[in-house]
Amino acid sequence: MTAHQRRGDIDCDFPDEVPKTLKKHAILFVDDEAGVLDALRRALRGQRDDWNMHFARSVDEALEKVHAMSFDAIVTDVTMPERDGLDLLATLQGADATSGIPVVILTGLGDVDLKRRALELGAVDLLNKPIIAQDLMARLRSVLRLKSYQDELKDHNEALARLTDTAHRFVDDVAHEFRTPLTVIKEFASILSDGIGGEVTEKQAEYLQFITEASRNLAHLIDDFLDSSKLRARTLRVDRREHSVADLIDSSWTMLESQASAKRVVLERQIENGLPAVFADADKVRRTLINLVVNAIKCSNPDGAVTVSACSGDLGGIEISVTDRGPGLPEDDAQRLFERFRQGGDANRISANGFGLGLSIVKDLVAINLGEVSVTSTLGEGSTFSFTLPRCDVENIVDSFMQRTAERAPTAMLSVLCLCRTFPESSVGELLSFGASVCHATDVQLPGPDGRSILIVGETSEPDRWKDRLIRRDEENRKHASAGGVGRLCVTQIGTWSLRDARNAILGFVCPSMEVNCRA
Amino acid sequence: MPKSVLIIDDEPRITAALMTRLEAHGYKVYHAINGLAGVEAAELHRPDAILLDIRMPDIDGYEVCTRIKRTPELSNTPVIFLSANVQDSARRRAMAVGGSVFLSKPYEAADVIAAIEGVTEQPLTLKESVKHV
Repeated sequence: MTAHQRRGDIDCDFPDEVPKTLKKHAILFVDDEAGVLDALRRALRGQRDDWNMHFARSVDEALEKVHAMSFDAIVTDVTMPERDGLDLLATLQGADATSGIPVVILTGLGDVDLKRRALELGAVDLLNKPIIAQDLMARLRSVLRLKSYQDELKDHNEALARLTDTAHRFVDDVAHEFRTPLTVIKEFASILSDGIGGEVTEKQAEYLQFITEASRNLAHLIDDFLDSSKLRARTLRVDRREHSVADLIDSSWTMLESQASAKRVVLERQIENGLPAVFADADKVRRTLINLVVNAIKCSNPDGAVTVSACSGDLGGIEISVTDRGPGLPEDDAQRLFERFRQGGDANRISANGFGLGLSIVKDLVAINLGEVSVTSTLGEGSTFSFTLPRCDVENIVDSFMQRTAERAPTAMLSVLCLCRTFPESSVGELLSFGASVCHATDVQLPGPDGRSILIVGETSEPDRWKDRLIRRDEENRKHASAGGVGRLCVTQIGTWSLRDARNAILGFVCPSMEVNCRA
Repeated sequence: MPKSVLIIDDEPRITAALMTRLEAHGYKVYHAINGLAGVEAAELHRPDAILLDIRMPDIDGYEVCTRIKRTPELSNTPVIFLSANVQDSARRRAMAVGGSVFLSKPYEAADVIAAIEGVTEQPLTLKESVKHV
């Protein structure tokens, strides 16, 4: 089956394929001895003619040629005057533009140390001298075959990354387009009911309130729907930073108050004094809070009250709670509440539209913020929905992250908590090519070799503190036989992060034999 | 003298809703239908506050705000962003280019009025502007 057939009827923007058999492969041979190059030329020319052979007598000449044109493979001798073959290999591997070119190293028989170094530096194959033409041919064919698969994968990954990006923009555009007419509907209904367009009867004002209310709900539903589809597509972007809890609650307070007062519900707030800042994605906190409060308002009886409170939580984080005095629900139902689209058994609750979707999103949004969501409820007295957020300090962030990783350990054997603010969007696609399944744009999960590795890539000015905390927390986890052991750590410092660092670090986990340079 | 507000938004029905609400509240209201016209109107009318959309056909709200803050006579005019883009990144970018407040659409009229009152009460002190960033 060809790649083209496999794609079947998927209509997307994959790059046009150049049939590989028609394209002449360009191969560069590097050796300081003219005699060897001549022998190679003669030997290979007799074998096959679909290769373009190029020759260089030194590393510098080779590099010049590499920059002038693109090669599909390079075969190099090691021992040369001035710069040697390993130097060439290291230089090629060190630059993004050339690191993808497969390099075959020619070595003397039995030089084990040199062979090891060549492999560590990224050589794809080794060949003993003296060279037998058939051997070299066979090796080169397999190297070229691998290279063409690799190129094809890379092209497809790039196309996928572009598609994801397009989908993202589309979703954001749709949200934007929906919000504009909604704003017009809601605001004019509100203007009319306030009597600004002329006198309205009490009945009319009430009807106009219904329109305002429905528009507000529709706006929430659009947000829920978009969050939900991004969550399912695993493309929700995450941007965690330091925030004050009061600011996070303030930013949607007026809207929530209007929504409450339309239902004649009083909205109260109790924020503990001197709460430390939290480490969270502000947008996700707002969406969580809106969902919980709107839900609580729906569950409240007229003239009831809903309380939003924030205090220090049990595990060192901050806990935000939303309490209603509605009908409450039985213990069993409360525990099942957070499953996608499931609704509680109580008729009052079922009548509250959008309920199931909103709560399942809450669970995911809270998880993104490294927190936990819980509910306590008493029939006839009301319910309290709470969620936690980590404090903005190393200890609490690490603990929260480790807790979450332990919970999902069976599927996520290697987790990456990426704290880098500069993490480029495009690199997600690149990480996919290592078998990573992207959880959120900045959190990456992929299977590790030992099933218990955790890699933390952080942009921080205190790498040692992160490391200490991780190791200590890891030991505690192991003692309690929970999952989430740390295999190796990589903590990078501010400004030093690059995709290349990430790739190297991740490869270090997938292929532990490789020497990985962590800047910690 | 009533406070004056300039609305810069390419969506005429949003502008109409805002004008109706703000005029009813006693403000003198000007409006512009795109970014470049907005910068010109700001120079012409010298409003007490500007309500600024982000996504517009010519130059976007960030650019409008940047130009306003770069114009010496307007650099102290407070800018309130009012956008259907609700992402936190938009909020931060708006603050980074000199916005004083960021509100999202659909907006609550009370929020808009509170924001205008807030920013026109007194010029932002250094401390407050730091807090907003």
